[in-house]
Amino acid sequence: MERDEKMTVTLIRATVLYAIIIFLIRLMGKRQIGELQPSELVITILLSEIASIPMQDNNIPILHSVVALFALVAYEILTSAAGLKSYKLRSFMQGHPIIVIRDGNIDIKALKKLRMSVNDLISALRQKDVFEISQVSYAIFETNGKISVLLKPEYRNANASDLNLVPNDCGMPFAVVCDGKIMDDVVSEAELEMSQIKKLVISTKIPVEEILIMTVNSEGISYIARKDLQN
Amino acid sequence: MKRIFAAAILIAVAVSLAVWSGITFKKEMDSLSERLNSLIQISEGNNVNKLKKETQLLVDEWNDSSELLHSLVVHEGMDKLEETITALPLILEHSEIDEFKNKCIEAINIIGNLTQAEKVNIGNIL
Repeated sequence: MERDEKMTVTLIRATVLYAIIIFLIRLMGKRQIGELQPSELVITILLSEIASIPMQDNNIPILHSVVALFALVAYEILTSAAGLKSYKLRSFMQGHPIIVIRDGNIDIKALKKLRMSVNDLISALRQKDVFEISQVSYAIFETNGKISVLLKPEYRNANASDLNLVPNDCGMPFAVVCDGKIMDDVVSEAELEMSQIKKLVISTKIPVEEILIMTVNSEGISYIARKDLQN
Repeated sequence: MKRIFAAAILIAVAVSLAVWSGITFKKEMDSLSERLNSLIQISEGNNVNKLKKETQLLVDEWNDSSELLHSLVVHEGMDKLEETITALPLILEHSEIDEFKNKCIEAINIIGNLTQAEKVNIGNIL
């Protein structure tokens, strides 16, 4: 086979594998990208490894990888589905959250179980903007390796209910116009009518094509930016 | 529910591909092996015309199936077999019959090794 043909084969194989990996990652769901559980981490590493081998070596049939990729993703989906039904399986596959600080006291046994040093714990706390261990009511290491921190009541930020205030709730703002286009799916998700959005756009006296972003909440337009003002 | 259904389809596709590739590979290898054995038998009878015809049939069969086989098996082993089989007509033309016979035996051995490597057994799994 000529060298340039080999490169074309590599290009086609890379394209095919890219399409398959995107399809499989989408099939596994958004959780895969955001917060990796141990089994998901293993699957992600395996997928990238298995996909890269035939991409680099044209001597290995792509079907070998496809079979392995399909099987791994199917196992991941099935075990996570089974984990929803069975607590035992879920805790076996994902582990348990572990409390490492209780009422300002470090649980050394729990740290040893996690094979973590106090320095690691302090570092994880600092990343959560907590610099004083005595302020912590509970600190829990989650199964995805992140730490959750509950401060003692006296160190928590005051909120509206603490101050007996009743703030005006305008609901969540939805970006109904993006880059000069009305986003149909966002409009329907916000449970609004297209005619309402068009009226709001007309009320701004800006042609819709010139709007960079427009968000609306239950009270109407909450934010609008023109394209030309962004430069 | 849709994802579980999709996962079941993926498993079904993976199993089907694995089983189909195993059967196809074995079938093609058995057929090639049979042709090579018959070439050895014919070569012992010194019927050169028949030998040439049968050799060409073997090469044609290889050419027909090689693309499919390359999509199923790691190319390294297949390349060796391809070299051996496609060289047979030239060896028959320009060399002694014994050398031709040895080349046929070599091809049969390669097929045997390839088939062994593709078998589902503890050795190959581990």
